[in-house]
Amino acid sequence: MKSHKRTTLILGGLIVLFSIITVCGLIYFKYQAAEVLSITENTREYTHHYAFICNDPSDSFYQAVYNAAEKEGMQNNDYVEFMGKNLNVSYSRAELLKIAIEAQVDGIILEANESSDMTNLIDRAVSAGIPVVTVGSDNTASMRQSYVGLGYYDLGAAYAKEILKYATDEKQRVMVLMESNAINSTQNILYSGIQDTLEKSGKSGYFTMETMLVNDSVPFQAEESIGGLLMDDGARPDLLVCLTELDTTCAYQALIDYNKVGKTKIFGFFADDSILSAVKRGILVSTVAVDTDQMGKFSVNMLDEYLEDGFANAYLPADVTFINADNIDEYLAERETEAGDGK
Amino acid sequence: MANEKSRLWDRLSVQSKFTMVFILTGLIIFVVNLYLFINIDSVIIRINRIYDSNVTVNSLSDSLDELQNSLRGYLDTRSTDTMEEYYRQETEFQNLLLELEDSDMPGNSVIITENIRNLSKNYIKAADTAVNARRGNIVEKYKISYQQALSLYGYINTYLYSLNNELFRHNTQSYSGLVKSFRTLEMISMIMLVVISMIDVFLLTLISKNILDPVQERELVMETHLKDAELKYLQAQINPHFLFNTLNAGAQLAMMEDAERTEEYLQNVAAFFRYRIRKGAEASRLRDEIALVDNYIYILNVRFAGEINFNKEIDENALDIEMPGMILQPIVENSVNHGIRGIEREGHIRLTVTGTETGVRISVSDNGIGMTEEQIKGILEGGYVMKDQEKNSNGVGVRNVISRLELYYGEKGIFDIKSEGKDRGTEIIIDLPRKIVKNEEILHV
Repeated sequence: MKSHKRTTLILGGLIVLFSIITVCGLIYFKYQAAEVLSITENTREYTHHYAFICNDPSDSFYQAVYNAAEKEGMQNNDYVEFMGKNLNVSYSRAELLKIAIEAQVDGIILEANESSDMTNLIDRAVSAGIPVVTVGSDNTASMRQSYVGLGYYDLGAAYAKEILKYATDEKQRVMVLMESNAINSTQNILYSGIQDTLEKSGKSGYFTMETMLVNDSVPFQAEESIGGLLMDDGARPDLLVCLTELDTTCAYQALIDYNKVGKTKIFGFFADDSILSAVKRGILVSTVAVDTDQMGKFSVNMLDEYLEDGFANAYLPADVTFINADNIDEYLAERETEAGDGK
Repeated sequence: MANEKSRLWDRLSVQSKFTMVFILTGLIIFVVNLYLFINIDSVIIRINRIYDSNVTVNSLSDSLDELQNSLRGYLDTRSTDTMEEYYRQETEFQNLLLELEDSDMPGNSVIITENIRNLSKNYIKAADTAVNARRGNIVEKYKISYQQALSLYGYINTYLYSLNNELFRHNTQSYSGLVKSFRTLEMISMIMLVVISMIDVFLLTLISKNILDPVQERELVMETHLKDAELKYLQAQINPHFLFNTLNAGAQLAMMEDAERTEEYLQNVAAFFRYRIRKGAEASRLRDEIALVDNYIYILNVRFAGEINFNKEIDENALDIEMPGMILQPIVENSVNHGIRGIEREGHIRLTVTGTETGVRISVSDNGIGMTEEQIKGILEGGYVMKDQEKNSNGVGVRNVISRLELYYGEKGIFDIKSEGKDRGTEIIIDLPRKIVKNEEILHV
């Protein structure tokens, strides 16, 4: 009787073991197969197809804007395509814009400039019934539906306030790096914002204002020019204002490379991990954090609104924050929490 | 319910049980593998569809090249042949475009495909405009349209290339996923086979054990029944009542005929058999044992005309000791048969009972042929092999007597044999202890 009980126990154990192995194996297998199928089937339905075009697809600032736009698009059932990203030929911004027009997308989110070629292309798109939202930098002469970005005059004023903190008895040279590729009126507005504010403060006598044109369109040109500027003791300014992410990265890297940290005070633009760490380490005196999430989101919303109602706001400003040694820790902590919430 | 099932299982033949176990386990392996293969199959079908898309994309790319060449050809020559060729290529390109739209696209490829479709439509429009302008010889227009078509051709090619890359990337991912799935499938099948084999072996062992056990049991029962039957048969033959009645009837007859010796003889025979049947397995008293020996000697002396000289030297106080039955008579019978039978001189058997400190000593000695040391050792240790004629003896063997004494008293050394050699007689000594040990409990008698 006892041995009978034992054999039943062993048999039961074996059968249970077998069942567990089989069931676990099958579940794992099914999961694996489903994963393979999901690789091939991650398609989704969408109502609108928007093209996202920027000057440099590797620019973290615009990548952040795109990510936000894509996320917003996913929620609104729109497909936001980063034009040129998956292509094996790197097309210029103008060509990408042409492709987007020929591909008859439903809307275009564009990092514009004030060139007349750009104006023509935007007008062509709008005439073909494709609404255009400019993001980050505008083309005011075009028929674009809206502009989502920064209030450059105000941003200039804010930069000026930062600059004023470093006023000393000795006259200081302030250099603003500007995009040379085209007449970029947004940067001009920003420059006037700085100048006007300095004058209004009555301390304009403490500074001499200069600009330097940096050619962003030729690869590695920015790095060369900024490196050359900071290496040259005669040419090196006391205060350097960078208005793009690329210029900011090049400038602080050059300071480190040529061992000139502290010799020039750099006011940066954009807040990615490396720039924030440069602020924390004191290499940059401050940087501007633009709410890229807001910009991406607004761009998609503008297009959606326009396609639905036939009109949209002409201008939507995005929030900016100046980050310097005083509030960097606070900002980092806040970002950490948001990232945590995002997960 | 479970009982019914197990009974049903018990009733199955060995063959059915084996077959069922194998069919069941085989079926499980088959079903699980079928499931695995169906899943793998669906993945393969899916991957194949993407490969098909790859083929379509390549054909479309080739067709676009042909179309562009024919467009260029017509614009260059303006011949009817080249125009026909252009329209033929255009139709083919459009057909392939429709095929691409219908094909199965993963992930980002959908948007690339849509771009290709729209770009292609515009390309065809521009190409057609160029062709028509060329036919109308509007030079400016056809040049502009051709330029437009050319740049679109470039864009489409780029997109087709990218689409191919995208599809290839997907296929590579799917392929590595598929390989992983195959590995898992192998693993699951392997583990299942091992475990199922274990269960099979276990079940088969169990079944064969259950089948063989009843056979052995039946054999045992049959043997017991046979023994029982034999015993009953023997008992029936020597029905004691019949035997005693017969002998008593003989004794009465002898009395009536005044044949006193015959009467005495018959009464002795009757008493001998009664005791033998009654006391075979029971405890007895020394007094009864000695009475039985007297009966036996009397019968023998009648049979062999007083050849046996039997002397007793009895301590009367020791006669009430309890002992196992059927001990003394076999020993005396042994002395008669193996000791004094066939000797030239007069045979003497002497029975002595003396009280000792620990119990009672019984000694049966004869002046017969005696025993060698080996014979004594053989009997005492149980290794002595009886000769054929000894096996036929009706009596209880000496070895049997020793065993019963040892079992009864729970100790060895109660029984001893002494002989000074050939023709010097044999003495058998039994030391009965007063206390007996049974079931490891000491009882005082």
